[in-house]
Amino acid sequence: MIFPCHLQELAEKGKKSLCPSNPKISIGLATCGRSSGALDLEKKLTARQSWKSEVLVGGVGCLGACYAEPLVSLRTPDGRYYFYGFHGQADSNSLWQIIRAAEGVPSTRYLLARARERQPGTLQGIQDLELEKVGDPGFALFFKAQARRITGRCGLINPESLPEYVATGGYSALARALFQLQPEDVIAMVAASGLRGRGGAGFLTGKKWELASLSPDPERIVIANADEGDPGAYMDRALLESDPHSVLEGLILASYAVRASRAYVFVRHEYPLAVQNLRRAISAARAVGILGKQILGSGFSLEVHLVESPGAFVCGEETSMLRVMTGKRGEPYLRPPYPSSAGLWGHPTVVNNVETLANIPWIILHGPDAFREVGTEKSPGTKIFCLAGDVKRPGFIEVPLGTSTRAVIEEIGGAAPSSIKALQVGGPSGGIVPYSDFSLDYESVASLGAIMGSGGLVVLNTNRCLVDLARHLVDFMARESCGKCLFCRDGLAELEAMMTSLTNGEARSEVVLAELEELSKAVADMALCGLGKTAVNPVLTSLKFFREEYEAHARGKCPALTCRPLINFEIISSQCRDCRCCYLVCPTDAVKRRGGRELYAVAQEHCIKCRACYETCPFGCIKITSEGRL
Amino acid sequence: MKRVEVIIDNQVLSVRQDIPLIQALREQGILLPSLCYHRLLGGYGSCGLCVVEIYTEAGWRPRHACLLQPEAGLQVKTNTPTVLRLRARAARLLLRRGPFPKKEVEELLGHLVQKGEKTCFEPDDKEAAARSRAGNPAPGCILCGLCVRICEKIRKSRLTFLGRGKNLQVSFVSAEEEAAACGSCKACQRICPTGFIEPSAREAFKARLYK
Ligand SMILES: Cc1cc2nc3c(=O)[nH]c(=O)nc-3n(C[C@H](O)[C@H](O)[C@H](O)COP(=O)(O)O)c2cc1C
Ligand code: SF4
Ligand code: SF4
Ligand code: SF4
Ligand code: SF4
Ligand code: FES
Repeated sequence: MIFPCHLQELAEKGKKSLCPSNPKISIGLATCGRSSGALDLEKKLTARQSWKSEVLVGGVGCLGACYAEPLVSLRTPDGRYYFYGFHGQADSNSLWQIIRAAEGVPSTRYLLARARERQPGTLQGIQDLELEKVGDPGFALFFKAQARRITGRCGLINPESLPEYVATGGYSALARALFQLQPEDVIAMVAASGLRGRGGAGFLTGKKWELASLSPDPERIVIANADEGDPGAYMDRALLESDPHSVLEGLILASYAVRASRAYVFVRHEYPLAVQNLRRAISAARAVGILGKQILGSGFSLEVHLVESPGAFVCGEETSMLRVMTGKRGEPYLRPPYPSSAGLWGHPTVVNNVETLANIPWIILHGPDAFREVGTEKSPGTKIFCLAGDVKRPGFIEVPLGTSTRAVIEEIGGAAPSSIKALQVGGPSGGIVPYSDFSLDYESVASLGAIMGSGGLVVLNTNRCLVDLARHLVDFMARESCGKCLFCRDGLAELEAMMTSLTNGEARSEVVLAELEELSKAVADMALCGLGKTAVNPVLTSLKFFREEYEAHARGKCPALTCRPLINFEIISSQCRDCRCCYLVCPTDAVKRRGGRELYAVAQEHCIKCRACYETCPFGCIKITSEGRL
Repeated sequence: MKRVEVIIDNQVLSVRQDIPLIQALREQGILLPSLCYHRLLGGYGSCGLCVVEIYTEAGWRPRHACLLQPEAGLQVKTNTPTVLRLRARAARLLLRRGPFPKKEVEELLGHLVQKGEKTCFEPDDKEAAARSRAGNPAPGCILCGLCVRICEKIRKSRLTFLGRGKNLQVSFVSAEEEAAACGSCKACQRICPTGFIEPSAREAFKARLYK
């Protein structure tokens, strides 16, 4: 039997690269890091010949604190970690700070925090780091309310290193399942944990597996859904880029549980780095016998194939995905039959989201009761959210389900509550709800008329026009619909046209609001798949909670002062100091010089509402108004 | 041929179970409006006209009759205000894809709009209709997919959907031996409910590809 000495060897190897006896610099090389210059940093650091054998330089995934990217950490041989964040300014100066730190003079500039391995030389995840010193209080707050269970390795291990994954406890859940548990036991554990699908609908994972395993058809298939089409949400990408093996391990466990012989990862081709890391993970796992025939020497065999998705939002819908995988157009079909009884090529197929699968190893290792220790009765466990919008610290976070919005938005995100108007929960088909202190779990979110979706969380401050936002989301969905159902295709297009008439001032009465509501409901009723059924959520929720904004638009007024056709720029003469800035900056010469006390005025017919004057005036004497139709 | 008893508009009817509800009702003389259904091709759920209400755990819910399979005891209503209103909405949206070569289609849709109008207030939206017609590259085609489906069924597969969402279009797929592959059967032309395919599929769709 290969197990356990085989894994043991890998673990030893991983431990050496994870906790080496030399100083080690790790650079966050996930997409968020790359987009703020991390690759350049890496190139410069690895190019330092003089270090050669003394300082190790390597890449890791995303720590989650995307707001401070590029993120670099330095581990010293005594098990201390210095986390540096350059907030988008990775210049030569910041480079030198790292170099000096690696050479033994850690500076406090750019230092986010210093932490220490509780037991020097062992690291399984972020939970094993003890904070010693806070450089940036925001960074500490960002992590304080989090529970990084399944994202614990993200940003600490090298996603390309199988040994490091194993050294942090990876694949031990698999070994445990293969050698100590029957497939039924695995299903029972997952069922007992109460884990719900993280892909949007929140269906009970154990139940889904059970259905598939009861099928008389012996040929079963498991698919990891990594299509992630939600704009603004990137939890699946972050996981695949930072810790691909955890998803793979979950996938193998799911396959073992339902006795599948084939598994697939359906991944969006716009995620090249995720695809690359996954491919590497799959071949590394195969090379050591974690995939393929008789995994780890057990009787279980499995092949995993990667399928790149064409990348339309609707392709993430499971039935549509199954069609795409058989070479057809991405067009959903009516369920039942559910994929778990008849899916890919008619075989029972379990479709699970990436994050759902990443929870499985944890459950196998720690047990269902431990899983339920956080979260709520009906929504146990943790959830990854992507926090974005008007917050100080946007990023990729993991919190127990049922955590309050206040903790997430104000503590983690650092937003000032008084400035926040609304939250957009659950991506483009979620909902727009007023900002209040509510619990982030499936039931509470549903009771507001929104859905959890895949976990997008966009914070909207008082300057955001919610009518315009809802219009934008409906437009997105109208474009992304497969186009098969009339209501989803043309109904959404019609809704968008109505919303546009509100934001451009063409809507002349409030009748359009009743129309919006009715048509939205008709679309939800008549669409065949989840896309159409949920696409109107932003309209229905914003109409419910922010009806007055719609009413104002129907009167030609934009309360947030952002819908261009409905606003005017005015110069407050009494405060004007004659600095000429607005006059000079206006691209259309709409700012006219006058005589007398009123020095300048905006000629409305020439103004293109570019905001240049408003943003330029050093004395703040330009105001935006929206008077509406009187 | 198995039959089941279903309750249609409070009347018990015995219908075939192996065909979609719309067809089963049709065979009993109950005609639901429809444009995208054809008995050879089965239900597709595109046009939205065949809507009925059925009784579910959650109460009465609208559903497409072409996508429903009759089950014993199924309760169906075909004429409720909800049904009429949804049909009128569907008809209104379909009319935006006009004008249609076949006058019957315009009449049917106009009639459905009127029937629904009695049940709800509808604002005058001629302007909006004109706007959405202006952006429609293929006026007269309602994207019901019948032509695509029939062509596939006869194993020619010369037609396909292109694009998605509000930019969806039907398109003609050229082949090497194009003349031999298509044009003679006109199956698509015969099945098209609106008369859009004229004079041939190639002419109707190909020219628009690069427009
Ligand atoms: C329009 C639409 C898009 C979807 N996109 C995704 C997606 O990108 N990723 C995903 O995991 N699930 C997506 N889903 C949900 C899937 O259909 C399916 O429910 C899910 O993958 C099941 O996995 P889970 O039970 O682990 O959540 C989408 C659903 C709809 C209706
Ligand atoms: S609801 Fe929309 S996306 Fe879903 S099948 Fe219908 S047209 Fe396609
Ligand atoms: S908003 Fe732009 S166009 Fe209008 S007055 Fe100011 S600078 Fe000129
Ligand atoms: S005429 Fe051509 S396109 Fe039309 S159904 Fe026949 S083969 Fe298909
Ligand atoms: S051409 Fe006719 S049959 Fe084909 S999709 Fe359009 S309306 Fe339907
Ligand atoms: S006939 Fe059922 S939707 Fe067209």
